[in-house]
Amino acid sequence: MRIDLLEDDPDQAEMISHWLTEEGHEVRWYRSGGDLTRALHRDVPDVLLLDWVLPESSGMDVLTWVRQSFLGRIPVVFITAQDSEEHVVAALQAGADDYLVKPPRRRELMARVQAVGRRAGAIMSAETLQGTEPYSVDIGRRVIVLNGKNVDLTSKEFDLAAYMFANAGRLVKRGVLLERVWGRSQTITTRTVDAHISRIRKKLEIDESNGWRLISVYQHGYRLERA
Amino acid sequence: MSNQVVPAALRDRYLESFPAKAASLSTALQALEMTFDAQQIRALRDLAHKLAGSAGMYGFDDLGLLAREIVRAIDTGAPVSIIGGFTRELVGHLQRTPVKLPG
Repeated sequence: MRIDLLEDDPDQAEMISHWLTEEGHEVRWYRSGGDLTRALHRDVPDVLLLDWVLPESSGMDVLTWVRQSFLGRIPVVFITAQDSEEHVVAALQAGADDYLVKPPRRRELMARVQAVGRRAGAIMSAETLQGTEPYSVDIGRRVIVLNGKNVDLTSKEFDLAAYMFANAGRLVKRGVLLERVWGRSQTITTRTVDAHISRIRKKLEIDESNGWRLISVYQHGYRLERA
Repeated sequence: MSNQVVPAALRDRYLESFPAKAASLSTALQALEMTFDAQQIRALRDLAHKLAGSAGMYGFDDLGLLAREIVRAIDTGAPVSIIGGFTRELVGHLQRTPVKLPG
């Protein structure tokens, strides 16, 4: 999995990154909430690990922002020295998926990361995305409905459209779309992404009459947003 | 020491940081003893908080527990003499730990 780690202490970040990398995960480490939120605008991880106490914005600030900013649900695990019941409850009520008190134990951390990743996958496989009206994006049935009618999409077109709706409002790089929709091992180019984007724009009638627009950001990628 | 397996390279790097960590804690405590205010308390708490988080991961559970005592003492409004006692104990522990451990 791709895991973003927010931790201001290099000693802790190094060890957690080491554990995760050894288990085959890809880790990106951020020291501040600002750095992390900027990165999340570009690319979304499979799991987010947050420290609570940070020099600037707190882990709770970041969690709140993440929950407000993304339609697609990013699994969030707190790893923090805040061990009071009040803190645990506050984090879970704010939308954290799990909570670990420092110092984390390696096997427990790995198991919890796997569990939230697994749960997120299970949720995505059965979930209808919220806030996409007039479209209904049914991940479980792999169907997008517009004005009561199923839109005829190929499998990749559905994956691409669902990913864009799940990340509505964010700039998504072509490379990220390639990786998420086609997989890393595929030997296709970003032109394929452009062609598919063009097709879903047409088939889904993504335009101002339906309240959405799918814009191309030169040399970066695409953003699906409310018109 | 806990039974957590720590790669030697990471452990060595962590150990090498002990003198600097001890010096930072001592400096923060001296400043706190001279001026007992929120800024000095925060500075010492931040150092102890980080150590409380990292020490156990590197196998130094006893250091982590001591650091946690400092954080708890600060959070519960303990007098500076108590905070100072825990801090000096932690500094001594850091200074006594050899920068290179056998094996």
